[in-house]
Amino acid sequence: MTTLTMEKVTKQFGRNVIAVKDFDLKVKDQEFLVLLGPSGCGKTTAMRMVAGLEEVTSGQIFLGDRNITDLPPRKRNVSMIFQNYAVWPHMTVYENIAYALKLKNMDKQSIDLVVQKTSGMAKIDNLLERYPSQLSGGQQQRVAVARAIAVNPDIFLMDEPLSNLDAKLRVSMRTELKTIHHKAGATTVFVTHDQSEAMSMADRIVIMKDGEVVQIGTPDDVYHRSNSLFVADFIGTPPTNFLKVVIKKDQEGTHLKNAHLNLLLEPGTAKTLDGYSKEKLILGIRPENIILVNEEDASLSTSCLVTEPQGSHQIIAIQLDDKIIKIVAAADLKIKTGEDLHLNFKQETLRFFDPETTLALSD
Amino acid sequence: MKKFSVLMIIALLGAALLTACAPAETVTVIETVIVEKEGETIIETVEKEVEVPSKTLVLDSEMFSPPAEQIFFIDEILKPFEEETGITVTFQIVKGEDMFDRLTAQQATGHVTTDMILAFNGRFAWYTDEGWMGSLDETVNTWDDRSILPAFDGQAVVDGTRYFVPISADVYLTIANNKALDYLPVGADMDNLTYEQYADWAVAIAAGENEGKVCMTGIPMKMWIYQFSSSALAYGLPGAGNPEPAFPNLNAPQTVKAWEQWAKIGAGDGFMPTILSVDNCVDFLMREEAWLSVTHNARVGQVYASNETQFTVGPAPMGDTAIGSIAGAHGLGIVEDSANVEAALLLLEYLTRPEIQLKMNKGTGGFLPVVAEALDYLGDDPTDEIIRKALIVLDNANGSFLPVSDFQDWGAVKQLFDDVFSEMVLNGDGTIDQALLDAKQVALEALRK
Amino acid sequence: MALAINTERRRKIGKQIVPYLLVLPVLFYYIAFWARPVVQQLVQSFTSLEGQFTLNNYIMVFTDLNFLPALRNTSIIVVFSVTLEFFIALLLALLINRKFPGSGIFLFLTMIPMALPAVAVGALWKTGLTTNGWINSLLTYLGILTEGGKIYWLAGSIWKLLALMIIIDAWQVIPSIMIILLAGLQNIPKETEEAGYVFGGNYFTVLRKITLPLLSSTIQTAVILRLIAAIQIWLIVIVIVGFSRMPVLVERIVYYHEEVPRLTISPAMASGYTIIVTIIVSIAALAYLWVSGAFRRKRKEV
Ligand SMILES: Nc1ncnc2c1ncn2[C@@H]1O[C@H](COP(=O)(O)OP(=O)(O)OP(=O)(O)O)[C@@H](O)[C@H]1O
Ligand SMILES: [Mg+2]
Repeated sequence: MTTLTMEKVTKQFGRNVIAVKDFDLKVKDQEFLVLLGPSGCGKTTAMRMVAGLEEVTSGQIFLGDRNITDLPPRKRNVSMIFQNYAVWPHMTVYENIAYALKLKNMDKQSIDLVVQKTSGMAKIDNLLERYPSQLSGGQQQRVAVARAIAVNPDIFLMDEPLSNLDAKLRVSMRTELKTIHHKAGATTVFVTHDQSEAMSMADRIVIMKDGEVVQIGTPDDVYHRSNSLFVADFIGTPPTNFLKVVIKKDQEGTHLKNAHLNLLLEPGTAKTLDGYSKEKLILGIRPENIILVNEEDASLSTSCLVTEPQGSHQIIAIQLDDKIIKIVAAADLKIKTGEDLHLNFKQETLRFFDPETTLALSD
Repeated sequence: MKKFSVLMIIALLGAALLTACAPAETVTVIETVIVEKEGETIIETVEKEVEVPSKTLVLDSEMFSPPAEQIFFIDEILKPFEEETGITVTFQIVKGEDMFDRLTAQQATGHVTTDMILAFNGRFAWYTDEGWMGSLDETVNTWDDRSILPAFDGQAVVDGTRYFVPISADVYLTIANNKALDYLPVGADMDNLTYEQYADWAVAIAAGENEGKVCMTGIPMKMWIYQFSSSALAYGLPGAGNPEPAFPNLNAPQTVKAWEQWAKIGAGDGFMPTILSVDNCVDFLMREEAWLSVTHNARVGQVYASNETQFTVGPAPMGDTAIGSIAGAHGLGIVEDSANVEAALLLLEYLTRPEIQLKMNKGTGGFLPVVAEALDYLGDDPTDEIIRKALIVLDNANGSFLPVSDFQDWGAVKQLFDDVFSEMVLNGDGTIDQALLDAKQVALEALRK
Repeated sequence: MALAINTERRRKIGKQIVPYLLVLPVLFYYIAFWARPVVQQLVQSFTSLEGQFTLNNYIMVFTDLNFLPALRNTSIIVVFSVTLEFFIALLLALLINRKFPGSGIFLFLTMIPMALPAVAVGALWKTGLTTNGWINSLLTYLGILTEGGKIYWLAGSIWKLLALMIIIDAWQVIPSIMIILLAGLQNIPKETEEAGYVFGGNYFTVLRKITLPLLSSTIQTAVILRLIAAIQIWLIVIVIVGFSRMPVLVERIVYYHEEVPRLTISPAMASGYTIIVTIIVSIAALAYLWVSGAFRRKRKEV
């Protein structure tokens, strides 16, 4: 196992489409790294360039210290799990797993051994003589996994491997893939556009937009310390609430104001704004960080638009002008539509964004 | 909507009125009438309007099948006739065998739809033997402005009764590219060429050009039988209908003399290298891939007319007796049970008019008119030249018609000659394989009905 | 209770009958327009001129001097043309399937021969191959032939002409095979082959172990359909060399049927040859159905 380094990798299709742009990335040894981003942002393209299925337009790719930029796929020692599994329908499960091993001129006994071991890990050791058409989707997925493990690659590439499974199976396969990842100790790049999948599996998440990296960080980083409006909005369900405010300073301290809101910042929080000279600001607050308070403690008072019970918690929606703000509250709170609400924010969780650059003000 | 309906009704009414008022179809005919005048009887011609019921005449033809000939015949020959008489002629090209089958079916069912046929003279007997054709004597005997060449009476007239009138004949001519004239043997002359000279000429060209230039139809069952047999007739082989040996023949002494000349050409590599894929010499002569050929006058006419300055034409060569040539004709006959005999007779009269004869035979590529008076109209364009040369052949040649109906299948007869060509002439050493010829002759006799 | 079972059973039978009812019209069509003439031919092939049962017709065909050459020539054409056509078509299909710039136009160009009727193809090649034809002119123009130099394409041994026939037939037929193969290739998901590369294959191992096996049913269809058509080749042969010089099986049928129909032996020969060709083609068709698995019962009966 090894590290993966991508330096200023760019991929252009035809004259106009730039699918990946100046992509810089370092994947650590044994790391489980997730590429996350909306559809069409270039995740698959980035991964296919690592696999060698797509030529890079410019930039370099290294596995360990091997420059693999111009190597054909078979010389890279990577393995890949495709979104549609891409298991070979004319080969049995055994043959699917053994294909790469045979090409490496491994002897029959060693092949048997590896197939036994990997199919055991993927829990398909009882299906070895079957053809893919005789397997369920989940089982085919496992064949793809076993096939990928069997070659003992430097790096695993997985392109939305769970997206074709039903919701329940998807969640249990997450756990299994993680387990296998730990057992095999394999450096892994995993592509998804499902953020809960990303959050639950990743050591680090790379968030992409329009072919470019927006933020790289642990799940915690990207959730709590989103570095831009895009990330704050993209991560989390429901996403971060945004409020346009102006900064007003007086003898009391720093106020953030708009038609509905008058928020006095605590001194610690206000310090974040120190280097900021513009008047306008966007305030970001996660739904679970808005709290219900007494009328006199409120920074914001309004009425409840609707409530959405979720079992473990409920989501309360309020309307400010034409904007819906969502609040996550405890499930046992009895709130009716139209009822008056008095709200305040957990100040330490507030994020501030420059409306012009859309970037977060650093702490 | 209403307006539209009214308009429609008016239009319909108008159309109906027009139809009702349309005069019955009339044509002007020239008629000779006998007038008694002051005790004398004189004959006058007067123009008269006569009413003719519009009629349709069905003419099946195995002639004029090439599209260009067909178009010319329909547009330039039949159309004026239709305008003149108000008769509509339905002209259909039918292969020889199919035509016979068609008439067989019509006779069997008693439902005769074919009124008139234009058939090949070798097949006249198919129809006369069955007794399907009507006698034409009554009409033909009244003609005093035209005389039909007697060359084909052997087939057209049976037991003194005429059932067919030939309207178009064909013979064999020699054509040479002018480049070949440089190799013409000393003393030879295209208008009096012998087959010995022809063979020497062919070999000389091949030697000089390093490539054979003689064209014949190497693809089986095309025209080789006629090209060859013209030479056999030139060496005195009697024409069909004579006591044996007569055309078609493969092994008689006269025939062997002809084979010798062709074998000489073969041994001298005088034939075009790709001779076995030739099915018609016209293209090859025009493309100058071939320089020399003895072939059908219409084909020669086609090549000659394409560029008369590049080619020279002569009668078919002579053997040790005379010019020899297969002579064929196509003739009109009228089905006896036809309901349109009168209309058919009008067409017969029309197509044998001397000027129409010439126009038709020239327009369709240089066939020969069969009415002697047509030759008075000859001018001096390339086609006229061809017709003149062809006439020399028709007048002087030891000729033969094709006794197609004497054999089970004419195609099989043709093939025997093609076999000898590929085995003995093309791939031989110039000598005669009498055993082969005898064997093929036995096969030929076996095909006789 | 008994009644319930009865209707249940009746329903089951009804269900089984449906497919047979559906093919019934086609069956009538076949009996009327296909089976009847075939049976007639078959009967005729065993009937003498006097209307008696006889094997004579077949004896005549088998002892016909042209029979063995026809069989041999047909076999040579079938084996070589189908092989040649298959490999070139596969090559073209693989090439076009890579979707290089201009592959669309290339596809269009390769398909032109398909649009031409066989007679036109024959004429085109014949005017091309003749001594002063456009192929020699082109070669001279390209400087491959010296000025005045000539290649006598249409002259020479029967083997040379057979080879020519095979090339011409291939030229015309390759596009249709290529289209079938291309359709098959496009049905293979891209990832299936890509997985082959990622897991250690080079172009040829992927072709051999993944692409071709997945294409195999398409290949069978293409090859056997082509095989059946190649057995029936004749028009191109007679356009180039005419009847009888290079006999092939179907050419013999046409020969006896169209060229010498009035020979007393012709009906017998034509029907004899027809039945023989029918049998050979039927065997090829059965072989096709066999390998394509139409006779195999479904693996999993539900
Ligand atoms: N072969 C190609 N030719 C042209 N454009 C392409 C090609 N492949 C991808 N693209 C474009 O590149 C961009 C990135 O595509 P990519 O498949 O990498 O997106 P993705 O992030 O994987 O999206 P998804 O989540 O929908 O799979 C898209 O705009 C896509 O249309
Ligand atoms: Mg993707």
